[in-house]
Amino acid sequence: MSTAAITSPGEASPTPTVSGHGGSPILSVKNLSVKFQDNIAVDDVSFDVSAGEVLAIVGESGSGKSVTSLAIMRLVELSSSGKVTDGQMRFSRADGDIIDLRTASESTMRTIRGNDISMIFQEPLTSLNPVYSVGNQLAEVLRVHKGMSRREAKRGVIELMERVRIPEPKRRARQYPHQMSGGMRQRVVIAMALACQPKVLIADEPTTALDVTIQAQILALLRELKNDLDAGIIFITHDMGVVAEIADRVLVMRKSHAIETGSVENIFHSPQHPYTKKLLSAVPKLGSMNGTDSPALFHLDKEEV
Amino acid sequence: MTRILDVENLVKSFSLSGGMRVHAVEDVSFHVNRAETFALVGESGCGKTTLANLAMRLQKPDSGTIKLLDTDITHLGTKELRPHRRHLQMIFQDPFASLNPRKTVGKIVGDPLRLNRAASNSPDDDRVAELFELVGLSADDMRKYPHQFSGGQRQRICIARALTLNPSLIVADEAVSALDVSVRATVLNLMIELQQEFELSYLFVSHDLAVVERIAHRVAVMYLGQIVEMGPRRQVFENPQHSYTQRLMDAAPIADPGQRRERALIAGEIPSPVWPEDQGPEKVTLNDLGGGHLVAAE
Ligand SMILES: Nc1ncnc2c1ncn2[C@@H]1O[C@H](COP(=O)(O)OP(=O)(O)O)[C@@H](O)[C@H]1O
Ligand SMILES: Nc1ncnc2c1ncn2[C@@H]1O[C@H](COP(=O)(O)OP(=O)(O)O)[C@@H](O)[C@H]1O
Ligand SMILES: [Mg+2]
Ligand SMILES: [Mg+2]
Repeated sequence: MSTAAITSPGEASPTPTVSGHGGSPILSVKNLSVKFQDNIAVDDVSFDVSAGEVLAIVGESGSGKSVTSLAIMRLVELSSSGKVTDGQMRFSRADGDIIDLRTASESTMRTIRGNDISMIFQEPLTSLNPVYSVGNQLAEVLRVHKGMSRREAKRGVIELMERVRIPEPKRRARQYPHQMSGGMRQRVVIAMALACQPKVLIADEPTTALDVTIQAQILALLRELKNDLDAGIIFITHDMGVVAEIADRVLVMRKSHAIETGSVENIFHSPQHPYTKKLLSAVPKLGSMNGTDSPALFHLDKEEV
Repeated sequence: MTRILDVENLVKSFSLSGGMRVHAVEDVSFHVNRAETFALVGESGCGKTTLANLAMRLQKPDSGTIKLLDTDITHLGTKELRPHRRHLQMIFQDPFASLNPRKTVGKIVGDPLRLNRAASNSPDDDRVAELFELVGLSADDMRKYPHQFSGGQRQRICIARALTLNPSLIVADEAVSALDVSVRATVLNLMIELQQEFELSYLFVSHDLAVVERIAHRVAVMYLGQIVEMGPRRQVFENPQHSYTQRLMDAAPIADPGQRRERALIAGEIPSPVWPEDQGPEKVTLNDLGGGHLVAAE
């Protein structure tokens, strides 16, 4: 298959990068390609993320969303048989240095992971240690990342837990991960990410396993934190409803390609690429049935490929 | 209107260790009319699957009655149940787990015909081919095995198998929840079209309000094993009366950035239906607001 053009109103080049918010991007990914043996998982994908914005990467399963995020963390080669075969990922550190995450040394990457770039996964238990109380784990992060003393960290833990709106933080701090609900655990993981004050926060399907009322709370929390964290957030999801709730800008992926990118309003209200149109025509929009009594077929946009 | 399924006062609880008991389904009554989609919505653990399994007679209720086409099937044994079973079919969330990997899909879809001789006066293969075309697959696909199909195609095969004996009711438990969005829409379209063509009824179990809004005629909202609100989809969605229904509606994402809402940041949790053996939830009384719209008193 040939490289799909990214359609974006007003831009003619085949792979334009829409940058957010006018500010210079914290992370600029250009022509990223990732291969697993003969399977091209990510093909020539480019995007920017700026401080204080949420870029949603949306697409159906297997489209290359998670692999893209693992490539940014440089975990593709470390933890699996994959290889980044092309592209650059320019990341601006707090001190002004610009580092290409593709070529940086492994020791540099170790200082970046969890520090400058944090990650939240669908299953919060992935990021938590089962044998330590959540308070101890948060304290550890504060000591390592902020150089706090034991006593400072103890107070810091309670502040962090309050910030992510965990009720009864003193009691909760003594709990172990398995004693908490999924939503509460995800709050702990977000608190850990906050403690690191990352420049980029990557959230891969962070609400997919949660019930809808809990999902709404976590989305509201992330929206609040986006502002005072001043980080760029990459929010990966397959759920167009969630995209509409959280994103400033959207990158649509399909079969390892970036198909279209634009502001969330443009993507939803004037999608350009046939695939984006087809995707949106298949999304039920709550409230769209008002005034009717009977079920209604989806009028699916046919995609000319 | 003909009632296909009519359940009354169903109760099912499970005993846990430490003198505790889960009240999974607590005194639930509802019915499903012919050619109607009746949806059960609610968050995880509220009892949707248990209720669907009770209705299917896959689990035995502690008390209550289940009537299928005017026959009380609550206490029928396996053998007595068999002639009624054909009216009642089920499709699940994971279409792969429910398809035998060693059989061709043609055989899988035809099996109910062979098991239920009463229905097979026409040659099986013709009927199976017809079913394949009905669900949007080709008759040539009959010779293939489940692993040769995508998730959406497998769900179509499950639907074909469910249709084999011309059922009156199909119970669909999160049957489209694992499908990608565009595939999900085509399967939902298929279900709507089949309903219109064969006057099928669905008991449609889902946690996804936007999907339910699209496919249901009537809806029941479950919370902690009980129905807290029930009625025509239009009334329940446009004019939710119970505080839990309202909370659910407020929380559900809307696929339109123009309708983004401010939300409370307080951390809530989904309460648990687990009680000490000698206690249990309070009984709810449903008040009739007219037009079949029932709401639990708060
Ligand atoms: N560790 C791996 N080994 C081989 N292939 C992989 C691996 N991880 C992902 N892939 C492949 O890469 C493609 C993209 O996967 P992924 O990024 O996980 O998709 P998603 O958009 O669902 O997150 C898929 O074809 C997947 O099978
Ligand atoms: N076999 C069982 N033993 C013990 N508890 C069960 C069993 N089946 C279901 N439950 C409990 O009953 C409640 C309702 O479960 P379920 O019907 O699966 O809910 P839903 O489908 O709405 O998520 C849950 O608390 C669940 O843990
Ligand atoms: Mg993924
Ligand atoms: Mg269930």
